This record gives sequence, C-alpha cells and structure tokens, in this order.
Amino acid sequence: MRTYLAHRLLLSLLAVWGVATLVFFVLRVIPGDPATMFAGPSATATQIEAVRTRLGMDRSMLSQYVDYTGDIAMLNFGTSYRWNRPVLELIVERIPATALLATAALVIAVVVGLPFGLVAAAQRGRWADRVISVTSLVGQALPNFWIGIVLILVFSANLRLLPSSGIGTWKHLIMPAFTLSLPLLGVLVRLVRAGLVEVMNEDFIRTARARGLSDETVIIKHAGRNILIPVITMIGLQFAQMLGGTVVIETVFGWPGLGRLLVDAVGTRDYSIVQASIVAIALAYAVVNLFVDLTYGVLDPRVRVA
Amino acid sequence: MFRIQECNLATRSVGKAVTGLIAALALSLGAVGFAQGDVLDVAHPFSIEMDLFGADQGGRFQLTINRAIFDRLVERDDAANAFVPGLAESWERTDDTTWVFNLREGVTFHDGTPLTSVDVKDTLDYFIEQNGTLAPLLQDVTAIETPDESTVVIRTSIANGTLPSSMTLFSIAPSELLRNPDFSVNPVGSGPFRFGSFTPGTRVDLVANADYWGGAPSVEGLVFHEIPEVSSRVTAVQTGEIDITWGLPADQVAALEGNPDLNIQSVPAFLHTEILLNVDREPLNNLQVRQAMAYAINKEAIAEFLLGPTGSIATSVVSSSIFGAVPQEPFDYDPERARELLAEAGYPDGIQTTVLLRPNEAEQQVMLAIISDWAQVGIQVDPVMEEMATWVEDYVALDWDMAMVFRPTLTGDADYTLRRLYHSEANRAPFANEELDALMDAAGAAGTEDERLEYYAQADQMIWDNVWGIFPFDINEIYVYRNSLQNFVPAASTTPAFHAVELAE
Amino acid sequence: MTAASAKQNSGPLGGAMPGPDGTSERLSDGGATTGPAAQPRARGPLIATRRNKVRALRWLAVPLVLFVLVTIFGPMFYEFDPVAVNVMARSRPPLTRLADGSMTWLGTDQLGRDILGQLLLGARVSLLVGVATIVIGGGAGTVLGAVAGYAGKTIDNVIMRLADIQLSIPPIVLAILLMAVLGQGVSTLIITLSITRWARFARIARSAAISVKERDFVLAGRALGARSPRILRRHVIPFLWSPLVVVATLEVGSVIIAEAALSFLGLGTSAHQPSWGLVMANGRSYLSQAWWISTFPGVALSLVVVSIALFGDQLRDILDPKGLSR
Repeated sequence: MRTYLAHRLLLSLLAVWGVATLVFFVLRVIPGDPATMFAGPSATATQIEAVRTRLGMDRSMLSQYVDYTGDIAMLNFGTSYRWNRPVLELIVERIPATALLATAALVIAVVVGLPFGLVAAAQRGRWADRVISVTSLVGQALPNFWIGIVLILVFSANLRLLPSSGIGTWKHLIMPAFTLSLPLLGVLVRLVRAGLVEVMNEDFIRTARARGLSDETVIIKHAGRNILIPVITMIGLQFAQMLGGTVVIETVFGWPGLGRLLVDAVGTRDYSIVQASIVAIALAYAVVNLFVDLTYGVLDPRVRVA
Repeated sequence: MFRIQECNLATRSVGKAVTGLIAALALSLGAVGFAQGDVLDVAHPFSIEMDLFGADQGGRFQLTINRAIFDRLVERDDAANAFVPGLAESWERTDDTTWVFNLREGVTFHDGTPLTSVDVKDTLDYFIEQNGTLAPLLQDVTAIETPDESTVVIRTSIANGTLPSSMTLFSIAPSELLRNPDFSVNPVGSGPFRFGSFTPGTRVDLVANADYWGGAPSVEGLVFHEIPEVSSRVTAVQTGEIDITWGLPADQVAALEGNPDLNIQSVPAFLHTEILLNVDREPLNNLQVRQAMAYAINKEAIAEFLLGPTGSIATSVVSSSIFGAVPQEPFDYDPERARELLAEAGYPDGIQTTVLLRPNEAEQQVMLAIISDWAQVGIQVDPVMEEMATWVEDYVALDWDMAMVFRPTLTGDADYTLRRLYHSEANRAPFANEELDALMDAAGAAGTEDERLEYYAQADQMIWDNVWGIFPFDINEIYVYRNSLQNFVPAASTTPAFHAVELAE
Repeated sequence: MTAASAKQNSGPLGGAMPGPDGTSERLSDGGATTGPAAQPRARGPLIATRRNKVRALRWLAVPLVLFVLVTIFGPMFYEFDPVAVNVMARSRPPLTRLADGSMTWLGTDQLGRDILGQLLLGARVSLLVGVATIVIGGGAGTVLGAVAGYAGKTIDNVIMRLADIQLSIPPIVLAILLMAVLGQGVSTLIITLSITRWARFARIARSAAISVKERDFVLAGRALGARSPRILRRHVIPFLWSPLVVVATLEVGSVIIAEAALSFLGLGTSAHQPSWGLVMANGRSYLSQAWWISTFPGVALSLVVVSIALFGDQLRDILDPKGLSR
C-alpha cells in the first residue's frame, strides 16, 4: 500500500509539473504578453520594451523557466503584473466563492439525487420511476448555462424574487448552485437507481432476508456499499467538470470566483495568475483522483491493491 | 421488495438532514447589508479592482475612484467644462518649455502628513518610470523641480501648452508610501474620501474625509458596487439599492423612462467613433475610395435607431465636447455618389477589405451596422474580431486595413488624441506626415487658447478632407440617478466626482 | 479478472466504471434482465424485447434525422444574411410584420437580425463541429487508446500521462489559448474540442485493447507471426465497435453543448458567424425586454441534445448492455 501510494504521488507530481511546463511555454508562444497589455494600445515600441525589461521578460526563456520551476517548488507563485499583488493572495481571495458554489452544487446534487434515485428504484417499472428517469436524463443533457439564463429570466426579471447576479445571501447562491448541480444531479439519480435495482435482486439479499434481517438493514447495509462506489467515482470525475463549469456559471451569474479570475487573467496575459491557477487545479485534480482511488480500494475488497 | 415504509423512512431522514444543512448554510452566509444611512451607493459600469497606479491607471474605474481618494494639481469642473485649481492654486507658463505650479498650503494626507511638492514630484516620476498607459502624457517632460515646498516646476523638451489639462489625470500620492507593495489595497490620499475597505470583485467602501481642504463631503460614505450585468444595475437603481449608475445602453434606458424616482441624463462624453484607414494598403490608398466610404454610411438611421440617446452624428475629428473640435463639412449620406466615386477610382464592381475589432459589444454593433451600409454600395468589409491581447499586438503593429474603436479623450483636450496618436513619433497612424505633425506641434505649443484653436482647425480639416479616418458618431454617456440626489453633475469624462453630492431623503 | 486489471479498468484513468462488472442502467425495461435471452415472440410494447428496443430506437431517431435535414437544407430555402444589420427592425417580437413587409417568425435581435435565420445557420455550426470533433478527436483518441492498451508499459504510461495533463487544464483555458494562436472560428472550435475530448475515446479503446490482448486468438495470431498493427486492425478494433458507436453518439451531444458554451463566452465563432451559444449570449442583457433572443436558441439546443441523449441511451441498451462504453 505504501509503495503504491508513493508511486502514485510521484506520478501525480510529475503530471502537475508537466502541466506547469506546458502552460508556461504555451503562454509565451501565443501573441500578446503582459508588456503589451500593460503599456496599452497607445504605447510605442520602446515603451513596451522598457516594460518588458522591468518585468524581467527580456531574459532567455530558459532562464525564466528555471526561475519559475524553482519558485513554484517553494510555493512562490509570483506577483500579478496587473494588480501588483502576490498571486497567492489573489487566488486565496477568490477560492471561497468558487468553493462555496461548488460545494453547494455538490450538496444539492447529493441531497436531491439520493432520495429521487431511491424512489425510482422503489417504484421501478411504475410511472414514478419512468418520470424520474426521463427527467434526470433530460436534466443531465440540457445545457445548464441556458437553464441558468431561464432561471434568471423567470425569478429575477419577471418575478423579482431573486437577485440576478452577485454574491451575498443565500438568495444569491441558490440559482447558480442549482444550475451547476444539474448534470451531476441527473447522473446521480440514475446511478443510485441502477445500483439499488441491481442489488435488490441479488442472491445475498434473499439470503440475508431469509436469515431474518429486516428490509431496511439489508438494503442500507448492502445496497449502500454498492451505490457508494459508483457515486464516489462519479463525484470525483464530475469535480473536474465542475471546475470548468463554474467558469460559465460564474459568468452568467456574475459570481466573483476563481473561474472568472482565471479566464480574465488569460485575456490580460497575466502569466503569474494563469500559471498558478492551472497548477492549483492540476494539483486538486490529482488529489481528488488519488482520494477516489483509495476510497475505492477501501470500499471494494475485490479491487484492493496489495 | 422495497416497501413504502422503508422508502418513507429513508426519505424522511434524508429530509431532516437536508433541512439541517440548508439552515447551516443560511447561517454561515453572512448577508451583505444594503446601504444604510447617509451613504452614497454607486454602481460603476466597469470592473472593480484596486490598482490605482498600475496597469489599469488609465481605466475609467481607477480614474473615478482616484478622483474620490486623491487630489490632482488641476481639476476639471464638470458643469462648466473648465479647469479649476486643485492642489495647485495657480499655475503659469514662464516660458515655452516651463510650467510653474503653485501649491496651496495646509493640505494633508489622510494619515496626517502634509502634502508638499516632493510628493508631487515623486508621484509624477513614478508614472514616468512605470511607462504605463498615462506615461505618454509626460513624454516631453525633462525635469521636475521642487524649489520649495509649495512650488513645482516642470520643464519640457518642446513647447507644451497642454500640461495643465494632462495634470487632471495624475493623482498625487504620498511619496513615502507610494512604492509600498500594498499601497494599491491600502491607498492613502488627500481627497474628499478616505479608503475604508475593499472586497475583491464586489465593492469598495470609502469614508468621508471630514478634514478635506475643499470642505467635507455631505455624505458619510461612498460605496462602489460591482454589478457587471446591465439588467441587474437597472433593477438595482429602480429599487433604490443603488443611487447612481451610468454606462447603460439605449435599450435599457427605455425601460426606465417614466419612472418618477429616476433622473435620466444623456451627456456628450469625451468619446467618439474612430475608424482609421490604413492608407498604405490598397484600395484604401485611393482618396476617392475613402470618400466613397464616407458617403455610404447612413448616419441618420444608425444614430436614430441603433444609438438613440447614446450617440449623435459627429461634426469633427474628435467629439464636439472636446476643446479642439472644429466642425467640418459633413459627408451626407449619398450611396449614389459613393458608387460614382468607386467607379471613377477604377473599382466599378466594388472593393473588398477588412476592419479590426476588439471584444467590445457596443463597438462591434456600430461597426456591423456600418458594414451593412457599405455592403449596399459594393464595399465588402470583413470584420476581424480578435481577443484583447492579440488585438493590442496587431493594433500596435499597424497590422490592419481599418481599425475601429470608441476613442476616449480623457483630458477633454484634442491634444490627447491628435498629437499623442496621430503624430509620426507615435507610429500609431499610417497617415502621419510632417505637415500634420507641424500643425499639431504648433497647436500643442501655442500660448493662447485661440491660437491653439486656429491650428486645430487646420489639423482637423486636413484629416477630415483627406478621409484618413472616418468619424461618424459622437458618443453620449447615459447617467441614471435617483431624484433624491442633489448636486450630482454627470461628467463628460465619465469619471464623475461625488464629494458635493447630497442625499435629500 | 485480477485485482490489477480491475484496477486498470476502473482507476482514475479507467473512467467512470461503477463497479468492475459495469452496472447496467435500463431505461426501457422494468427490471433487471436475468435469465434467458430475448424471447423470439413479439410481446407488448412495454416489454424489453430486442425487437421492441429497436422499434423504440427508430422512433427516437426521427427528431435527429429531422434536425440533420433541416440543418442541411434549411438555409437553402430560407434567405438570410448573417452580416446584414437592419437598424430599423431592432428587437422585434416573434410573429411581427416588419417595415419591408416580411414576417419575422421568431423575432429579431438587437441589431435587427432574424432569429430564425441565425438558428438555421447556427444549426450548421453545431452539426459541423459536433460531427467533425467526434471524427477527428474520437478517431485520434481511439487509435491512441488502442495502441496504449495493446502496447502496454511505457507507451501506455506516456499516453495516459498525456491524458492526465490535458485533463488538468480546464477546457475554457485551453479554448482561450488556442483561440489566441489560431484566431476565432469553426476550425479553432473543432481543434479545441477534439483536444478536450479524445481522452474519453482513448480510455474505452484502451480497456478493450487490454481485455482483447490476452485472448487466445490474439496470442495465436502473434505466434503465427502477425504483426501488431494487423492484429489491432483485425481483432481489437471490431471489438470496440459497439461501445465506440454508443460513446460517439452521446459525445456529439456533449460537444454541441460545449461548443454552445464556448460561443456563449465569446470564445467560439466570431460575432458575425451565428452560433446558438452566441445568439444566447447576445440576448443575455435583454432578458426582460427581448426574451426571445436567448430563449429560442436554448430551446433548439435542448431539443437536439436531449434527443441525442435519449437516442444514445437506447442505442447503448441495444448494442452495449455490459456498459463497456461508460
């Protein structure tokens, strides 16, 4: 187990380093750089060169890269050329908003998805099941940013019940969180239903029942395990998608989160912010993957790695 | 089989958990209180970030907030559209290349330290050093001297008549604190409002400076809110959440007309549509082709139906509200004439070219409308829309057939646009030439305003008659504010001042 | 299946395989099908015989076929110039007669452009990007995955690390970077989306290749001297066919949504090339005054994507009940 862990950690770090390197070079290859953006459209060529020197961009790319790798290893993510503040500060300021949004979405998906999956499984074959199943499929397939727009149209523009953008109260949170949760919600309903249905007919259920255990205990204990694996795996996978999804949702709802910071930074060629954000996301992704794998190993003895 | 009871039990327990979770969530989210008491709430159309002297130093938000927190040597009176004393009680031009500013006494920064000429010098030096977007205004400056605490002498390399107007943009900061890395998020100025707090991406809170030399503001506080969605801003000003906003497109304004609580004012801004033509490229190197393009735009229709209260037909090379805008012979809409000119020029079947655009919706809309008009007479123009960073590169490199922007003239003086951008030295305009340079240099250097206007008349005419650029529209800014406000002056610079505003509830 | 290969199938790179056996999700039948194969006799329409499933599939295909036909032939019958602006017909509601006498069925946007026309042209963009991405990205992904699975060891590791790296970069960021280099437009969209989607196909191809690798007929083939490309072509690829078709179908829907999202953010087609996402973005500031601008493209998008999802789900039911395509 320990060697596996070490092996995985090493591979993850390697992947993160690979991402950091890729982003570093791609950023410097594309047209436009911090110097041109800083000096603005009215700048002359000499002015732009002067800014380049000041930002340390006139050195060779290789030496810049060496400094960059060294800095990252010591968790120094540099300063934003645009806001003139440490990047770490900027990112840490924005993380709570995005984390809140993603967590709320996750909670909604799980809290609404589980019972509906349960009901669907309990009522399988009947109309309740079909309605729930089709609805979840449709909900999963719909473009969720459009749902967001429709929600704003109905609840903000027309009914004036909820604010259309910004952050502050639960009223600001409910629409973006719900919109973000939709894809995961649809998937979870179907996963839970399928997992329960599969288990309900298994032999060991009949055996347990024959042994006198009540239905609840049987279902919860055994079905629980069966659903847990796919649900956790799915949550882990959707996490990455959600990170991408927050950007769109943050744009539609004017939510001041990390997604928008990152996208704006690419637009203004704020290299430090882009590099740091992507490395952070890559790290998060690696950590979640590792966690999912380990949990997987714990929950399913068939898959336990020596 | 799964019995109903089990289903209900499971659902009930989950239900309890859900309620608990929601309650916890609701409690953990602090509610952001709405404005209370004597506080002015402003929704700024641009994004809120505290970067007062950095990359965004020329940005509208930075200029607006700087106007509240800091002072400048020269101030602009928005109502009278004139320059008035700021930190400098008076100023004079002692010779062609020297300006002397006499500072007023007794001004202190918010932390109590007195403001002296050293602060002025250091701030201006800092801008020059940084080489940011405002630095070109000081490019002629050779030396800044401080013979005593209340005198600043600025020497320039060539005769410069526009320095006072440029000084309206440079906010003066304390020289000891200016270079602190966190100065941007903890600014200290001498202005009517002192810095309170900053919530990134959401709001900036300023507190009235009771000791302000120009008299304490009537309101106790000034809050800038970030509400990026236009429709949300409209709603906010209707509900009273916000007292003032501006930068609204014409369509949104229609919904507000007739609202008894709101004042809607359309103000000519220091902004106009500038379409530059690259005269080094075919077919734009042909004067008749350029004239044809000028005649083919149905300005009346676009102004009436697309721009509405946000624009009017332009009469000169810069917006009519700007000093140095001398009215020219209009190119009235005449598609027949346009076709004739094209045929005479040797292009009876029309021409094909491109126009460079950046990601600005208002600019793109106007340009698409113009392109539509051009298509009617056989002028095929493909819009090239690039994202910001790429656009800046191509724009600066003059890699375009035509380029269109809404050109701001931040100082209200034509020199800001004409001499800074159309001069050969700037290398920003393909049509730059010595004759034009001479006119603009003379206009910038001249001693009296009348002299300057004479030179601008000639410069404007040269650019206009040669159709080196097409300038169809002047842009207005639409301000919406609640009736309960007094003394609010919607500024043509789109960076209004707030310290005289009263809340009469 | 040993623990190791189960791990390979369902680890972080193995995809969302819920359980080593793959849980089957059935939409059309009322219960898990254990027992003998489908009855040969025709049963009532709600019983999940193969025949009924195929019949249901045919019905579900109808909206898709309609979509393709309308997309290809629609613009030929409906005159529309995407660049033409009509300032005198701005933001007209649906079913208004315009000044020049023509009728606007779905309304006009804030520059007077007809919404229906933009939807028809946008449909072409969606279809083109969807299909091209699947062909290019899916094709490349399948080949890479099959090679990775079959070759194993270093090549496998390298390709899977590449997948990891690509998956760590949020698609939006990738889109912006690529757009900066390649400019805006449909081809950039296709390239961007191909890069963000290939891994899905690679995973499936890889699992299939792995499970086929050890089979007798493959070992026999190698003993007889057949070289790897031939084996891949003749034995591995056909094995992949069913799950790949299912994934390809479902992915078209995802890609269409992704394209709309990118265009919505201004990272897709340029402002004079209508795309459903772009029209939605255009209408976002006018929701209370001109709701039709954002609503109709969203409805169109939803209809198409849901039809694809329902169709693909049914297809999976028929072709790939074991869930290899997850």
